[in-house]
Amino acid sequence: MSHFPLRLIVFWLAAGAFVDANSAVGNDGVVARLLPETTVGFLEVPEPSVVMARILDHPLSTRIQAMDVFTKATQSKEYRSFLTGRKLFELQIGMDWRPAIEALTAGGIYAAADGATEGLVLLVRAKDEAVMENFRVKILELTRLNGEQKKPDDYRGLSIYKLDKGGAAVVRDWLVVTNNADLGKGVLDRLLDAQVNSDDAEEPVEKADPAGVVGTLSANAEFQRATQMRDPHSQVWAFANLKSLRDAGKAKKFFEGKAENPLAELLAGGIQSTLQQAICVSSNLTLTDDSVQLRISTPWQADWIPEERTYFFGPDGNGKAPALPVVPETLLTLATYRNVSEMWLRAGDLFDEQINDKLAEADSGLSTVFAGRDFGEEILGSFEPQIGIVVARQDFTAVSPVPAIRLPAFALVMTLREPEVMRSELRRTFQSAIGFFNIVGAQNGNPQLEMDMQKSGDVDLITSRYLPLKKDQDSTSAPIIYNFSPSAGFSGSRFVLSSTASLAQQLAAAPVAQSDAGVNTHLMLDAGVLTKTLDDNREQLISQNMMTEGRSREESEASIDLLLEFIRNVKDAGLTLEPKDDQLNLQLKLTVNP
Amino acid sequence: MNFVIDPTWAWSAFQPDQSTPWNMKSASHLFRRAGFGATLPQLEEATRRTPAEVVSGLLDTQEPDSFLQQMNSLAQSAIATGNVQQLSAVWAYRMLFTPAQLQEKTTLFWHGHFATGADKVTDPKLMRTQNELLRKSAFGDFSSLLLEISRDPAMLIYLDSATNRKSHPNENYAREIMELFCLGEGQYTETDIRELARCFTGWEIRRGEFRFNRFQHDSGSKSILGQEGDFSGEDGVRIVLEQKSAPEFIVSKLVRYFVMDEPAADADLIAPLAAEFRDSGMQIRPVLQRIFSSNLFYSAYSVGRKVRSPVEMAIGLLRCLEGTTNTFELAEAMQTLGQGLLYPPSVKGWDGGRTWINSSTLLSRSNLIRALITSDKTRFGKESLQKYLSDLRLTKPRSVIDHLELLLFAVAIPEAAKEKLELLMKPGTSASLTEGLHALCTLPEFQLS
Repeated sequence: MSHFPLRLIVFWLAAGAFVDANSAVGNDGVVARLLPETTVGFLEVPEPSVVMARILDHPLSTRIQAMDVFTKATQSKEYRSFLTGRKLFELQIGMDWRPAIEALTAGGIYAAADGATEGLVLLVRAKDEAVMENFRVKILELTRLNGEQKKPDDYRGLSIYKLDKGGAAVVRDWLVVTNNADLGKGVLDRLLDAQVNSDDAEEPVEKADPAGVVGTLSANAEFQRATQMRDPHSQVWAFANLKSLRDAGKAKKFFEGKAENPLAELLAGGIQSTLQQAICVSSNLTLTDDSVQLRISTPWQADWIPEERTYFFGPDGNGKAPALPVVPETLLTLATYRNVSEMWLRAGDLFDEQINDKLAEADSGLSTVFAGRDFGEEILGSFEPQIGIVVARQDFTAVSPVPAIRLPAFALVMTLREPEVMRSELRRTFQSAIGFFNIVGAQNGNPQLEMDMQKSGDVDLITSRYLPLKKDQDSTSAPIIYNFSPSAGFSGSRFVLSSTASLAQQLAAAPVAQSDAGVNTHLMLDAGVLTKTLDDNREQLISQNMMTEGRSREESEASIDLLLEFIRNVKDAGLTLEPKDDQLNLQLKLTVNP
Repeated sequence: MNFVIDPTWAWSAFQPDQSTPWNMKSASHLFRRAGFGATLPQLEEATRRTPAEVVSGLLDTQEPDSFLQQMNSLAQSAIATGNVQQLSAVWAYRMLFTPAQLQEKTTLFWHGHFATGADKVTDPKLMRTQNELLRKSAFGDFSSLLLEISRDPAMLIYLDSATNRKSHPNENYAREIMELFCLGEGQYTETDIRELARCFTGWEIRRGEFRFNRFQHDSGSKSILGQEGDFSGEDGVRIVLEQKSAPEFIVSKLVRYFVMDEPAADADLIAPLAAEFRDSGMQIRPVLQRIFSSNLFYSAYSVGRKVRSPVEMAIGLLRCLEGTTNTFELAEAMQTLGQGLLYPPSVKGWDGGRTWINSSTLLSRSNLIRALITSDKTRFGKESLQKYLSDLRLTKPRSVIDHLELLLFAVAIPEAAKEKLELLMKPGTSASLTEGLHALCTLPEFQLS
């Protein structure tokens, strides 16, 4: 309790900092001229009030507050304690918390990490000097009331309030908080010297800054490059100096090493190569009425990608994700450019010996399955390098037996280079695989797969379904295996390998969606379908929650229903990876229902 | 201590007196043995009734339909995953929350008696079917239970008896039913085993279900335990049960499990109870009623004369303090200590008694208690330990220690230990209370039940 006021300030400031930032950059580059050139990480929220308004005044906030679970949460002791703290703050500051925070942070919130001192600094700029002074006085009163007040140190006429290894100080309309004395002194010196060097002592610091930015973040080449990637519409911007981190030997394994497994390589190999060359990362967070968007950008050049990883972005970085067929109840789609055949053949350059031994073993086995044809060259090479994965909710209304855990169906969608040659090859291999599953299944007492062939126009389907055991026939809580009816579909050059016959049929016949031109990877999650899928498994989720949390059923129901209620307010979530205009952009976007 | 116990006195109805009163301490002993433990309100309520009424209450308590539905839902959920470990967690959850704790404690007894391990029977559905059979029959007719367990798919798979052909009778089950389930060693011959095995020929498990294959049954004449005839498997079970040693064997195990590890009850002590068991047509409930209402149960021969098993220790600690936790982790921790639910070490079940304690398990027990009470999933009365004790108005270390002693300890905590614990808990912080509870649960006295 004794540190309560201090925690309160930090809480409010930290909360503001996480939510958003005018810029180093905002405030016409003032902040960048206050920070050392050795700054390796920087975050700014130039207009915290805008961010607060976006979040607190959003209709979703109102909907959340109207939920039963929220009402219950507000009755908790923790929440009441939080309200008491907030009220105390309001009484002390003499105004409601929100206008108080808005005035206190009107000039922005900024945080930085310095590589030289390994210190952190937080800068908050108030609406004006009077607001900041009032805040300082009130906080001091609060600490005095709590018996925490200590005599401040003096530094060049400023009162420095010690905090562990660092301290806090107020300079005109600025609040400076740091955990490192050297870093703090540097920032205070620049703030003080800027005014001393000014002809007019009242002149604002922006104009007082002398021409020289030497030794400050403004002079940092990586920072300057990062500011070129700043989105003027974003409310939070962050920068990381990758060059400094590399030079300092940080994350050496990541910056110099290879991917540790084939899946990680497939998902992020090209990104790793980019980060091994790029000098900086810039992140923009943009909040609008209906979405939250995070864009992470780095400088990018096609020739940074080593030859063994050309499979990732394609030649000259021109590899594009495919347009995928559109089917009902699609939960998730992933479309990406990856030349898997090339990756497989270049495995010797990409992975260590251990992984290569396993891949060689797999290559041998798979080549046998494919009747002696070379798996990497002839089988994987027979597909175009565009890959699609589609996950869709299953409809169990007219199905029997119904599995207890209702999994969505999923499918791989690819394009055959020579469909007339590969169709029969793949069909035969699929039949062999089903036969193999049946033998293994019989040994384990599992139901058997029954195969079928269907042809409709250009669509060829080879399907299979589990023949239910007598005891499972009418079950509505059948084993998980009844989620599957492995099937393959062909339509022109399109090849579909699906976990269910229904999805294979739909994907083989469906028209394709509009392509996201220029995008290397595109992932989209439909939250509406996700809600329905989770709802299908609500009982299962409640059971798991009861046991993992040791809760009663009522408690777990409330917890799962809160999760479902929250997801119901989300429309979709998407991710794109796109090399464009000498930048590599990774964009995450969450759209909420209006 | 004089180990010659008068059987008449032992099984006579307990009449509280000054030397052995019916109070919270004796009620606590009853709940610890006939369940996993009791909260303070449960003890207070128990002392307002007679011991006999409380025992009847324990035997009569039914799990409400809503609770049964929840347990069914949890079990179905576990079965759907195909993972038996999940079923183990479901059982731990049931032990924590069931209102019928004697039923659950007795189910655990039968699980140890008819030990079947999920490490071999990997199908959760079969394990659950057996577990429900044990629960349903916990207080019922032992003859029916034995017959059903003899045809139980999980049991027969566990004993490699899923196939039993007349040309090559499988002797596994025939041996275990006599040695471990009904009679004990020395009550049969190798010939009896071979002949009994012939009775079970044709008993098979196919696709997880029992099937009688009449073409594989040896319908010839057999000679078992002095009886001759063309016996079936059912006849074989009946003949084994008709042996004089059968009720003695079962009652001995019940007395050891519920009353005392040591000294082992001798034949004279067991005889009256075995006779009652036999005369009742092998009904389990009257035996339990007699045990928990007896002089022996509340005497110094019983109180503190058992070593807590890992399940009794962990579930008991939580139940007494209205505790809840992640039951996956709980089940796993109990398994690490050698008492995995659905994972007995062998067909012999758990040896129990002193075998629970050695230098290695003592450390593991301490670690389990620490993991339990420091887990962020563990709550006491849905609160932190500090808040829970504070709500009970237990603010002083000595009052906390006295409270925990009443609920958790079969024997008194030495005064010197109490003083050290008091010092440890003096700061009154959450950390000091946790440390105090942990220290309490590592005392030698805590290991006794």
